[in-house]
Amino acid sequence: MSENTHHTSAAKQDLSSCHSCGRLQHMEVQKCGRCGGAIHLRRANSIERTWALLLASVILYIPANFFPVMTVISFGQGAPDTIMSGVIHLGEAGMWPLAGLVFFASIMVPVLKMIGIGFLLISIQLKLTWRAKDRTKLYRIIEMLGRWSMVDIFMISILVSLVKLGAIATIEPGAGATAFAGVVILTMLASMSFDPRLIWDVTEEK
Amino acid sequence: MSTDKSTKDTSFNNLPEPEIKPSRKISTIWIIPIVAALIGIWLVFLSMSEKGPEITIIFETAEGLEAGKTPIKYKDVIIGKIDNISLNKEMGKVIAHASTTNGTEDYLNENTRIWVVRPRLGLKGVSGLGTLVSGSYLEIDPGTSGDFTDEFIGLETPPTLKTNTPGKEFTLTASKLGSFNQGSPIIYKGFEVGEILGYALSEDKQSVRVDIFVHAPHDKLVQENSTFWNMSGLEVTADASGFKINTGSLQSLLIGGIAFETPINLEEKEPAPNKFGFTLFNNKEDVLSASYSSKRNFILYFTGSIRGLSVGAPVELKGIKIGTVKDIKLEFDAETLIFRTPVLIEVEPGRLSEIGKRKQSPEEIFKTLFQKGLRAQLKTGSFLTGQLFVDIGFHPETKPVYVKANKQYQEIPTIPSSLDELTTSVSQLIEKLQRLPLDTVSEKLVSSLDGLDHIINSPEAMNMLKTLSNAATGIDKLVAGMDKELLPKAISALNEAEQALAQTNKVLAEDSPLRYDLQTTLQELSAAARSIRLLADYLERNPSALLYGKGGPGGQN
Repeated sequence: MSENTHHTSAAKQDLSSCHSCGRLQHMEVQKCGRCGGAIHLRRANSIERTWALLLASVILYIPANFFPVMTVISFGQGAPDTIMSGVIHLGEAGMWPLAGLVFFASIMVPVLKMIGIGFLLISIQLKLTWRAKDRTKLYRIIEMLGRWSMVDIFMISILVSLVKLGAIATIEPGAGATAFAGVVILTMLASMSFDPRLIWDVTEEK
Repeated sequence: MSTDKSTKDTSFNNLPEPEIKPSRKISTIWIIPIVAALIGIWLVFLSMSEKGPEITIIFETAEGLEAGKTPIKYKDVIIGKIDNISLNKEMGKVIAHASTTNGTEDYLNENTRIWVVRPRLGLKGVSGLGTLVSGSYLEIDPGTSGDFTDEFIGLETPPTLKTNTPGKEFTLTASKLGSFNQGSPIIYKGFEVGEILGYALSEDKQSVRVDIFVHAPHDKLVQENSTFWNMSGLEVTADASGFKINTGSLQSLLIGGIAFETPINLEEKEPAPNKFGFTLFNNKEDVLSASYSSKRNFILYFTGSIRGLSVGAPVELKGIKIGTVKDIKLEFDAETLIFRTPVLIEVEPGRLSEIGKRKQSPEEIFKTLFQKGLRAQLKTGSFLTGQLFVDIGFHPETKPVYVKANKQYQEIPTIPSSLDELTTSVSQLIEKLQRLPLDTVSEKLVSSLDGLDHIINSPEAMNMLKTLSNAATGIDKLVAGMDKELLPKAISALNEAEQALAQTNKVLAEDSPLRYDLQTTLQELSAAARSIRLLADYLERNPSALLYGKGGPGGQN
């Protein structure tokens, strides 16, 4: 696709879309004429909010990895596992696909998300016009993948509630799981509060 | 653009002015990262506060240990975890670094013992079976008290006893180690009341020290007069009544054990204090025969052969066993080139009941006793087997002889055994006999016999015999002659004597006149004597009567 700068945009025509129903209306209108939602040209405080949520998720990511996410006790044996040690144990046990999945969902995705959002924010604040389309694509990927990080949390919550076999096997959640859930939720909120249109605002300004 | 704006202005002119709120400098959204940071800090603080001291434990082997996994437990509560295991080249040992949880400091001191709990299969049972599936773990037994330390030496075998186990520890001294082992039971009337903690050679390497533990409340059963004996294994005795097989429990049969008993005494005894020492007997019979704890050793030097004396032979005083022979040796004194046989005996003074108060020290008492003739002597216990025993007795007629070759033990002077004496006198006799000049004696005897023969067979002797025979014939004739002439005369003389006697008899008969005359004469004589006595009495009182006569001036009548 060629450059989009020569195309006109809704904002240029003083039109703004409703966040909820997507109806285009005049920018001066404060409430959507159709659904009654607040009308903003861009998401309010998008960059600041995203930064705050991203920072919070980065902070929580430390205990999420440092603390055990769960303790599997089978036949009296068992040690608390952090995310990474869980991946290693799965790998040692020969369950490579599962290890890969957990590694991907629990380590790669959150990190990529955080780096990605951070990169997008920085690129906007630096008013970079570089590969705006690819960055939008990146944002879409981040949005899409974000929820998959919850796989780990779901798995833990299901296992904890299911595996209550007393001496044979018991799974206990750890503090890391809570922190990790916080990371996932915060990164999802961060990506939600990020307005990808800001990427294009810069290119349009130029 | 401007036209657009104007139209916009016109179309919205009648609208109220928008309220323009000054945008807050800091959005409320920043509360989220702050909260996240606070949670993070709190979690870190939590984990930091949960952390206890880091400790290192030295093991011989890391068998069953896994870095980052093996937990450290106390009473099955996890108090730590092994973080990493490294080898120490210099010591050739394994060093395990472990982190502990908060509050563990109290359990980590100099007396703390740490060992690996592994599955163990022993005769006493199976332990640590749970670790088969759960993996090994470290168990600690915090010592009673001590300074905090973070370096420990791991035990290879779990201690049989944990601190704070109620009960008492005792030390037994045995002559030899039985078939028991660490953890073997202590049995009281068939009940398992304790266990053997361990054993070691005593300092002088002459006996075995066995440490035992008796659990509460049975520890009260152990009193100072309690006796312990080894009840390991099987005991088969064969005697006149047949075979007797003695065993303890099956467990003690397999792994051995120690039984004890407290004799019933008149006085109520206090339970023995902790770490009290006892003697461990080989079997119950030993206990019954020797329930005496105090011992005294003596050394004896016998001059003669001690063949037949064996270790364990009794030592008797007045026929009562007071001890046993402990050791027999053959010594060679390189200085004096003398062979000696020192015999070590063990006397149990408890077998003698002492009456009265001691006025001297035991050494002085012994000295006095030796002077009084206390001696040791070997005697034959059985003529059949030739077994000897040591008899202590009084032989005041002998002088005490001391060898004084051993300074460790007191010496009891000895005297040769009666058999020895006999042998000695017999041999002396033989010696004397040997010293007799038998050859010359017999020669002389032969020559004198020869001479005798010569004399007997000589013609002089023959003549002498003939003369003798003639003389005898002469005597014979003489006697015959006497028979013929002397006998009739003798008979007539006897007859005459008989007649004379009869005559005399007649004269002296009761009714004979001679006897009557004699009687009257005698009566007369006695009357005369009375008159003379009266006269004498009167004269004694009245001597003047001699001059003046009866009734004179001097007279009273």
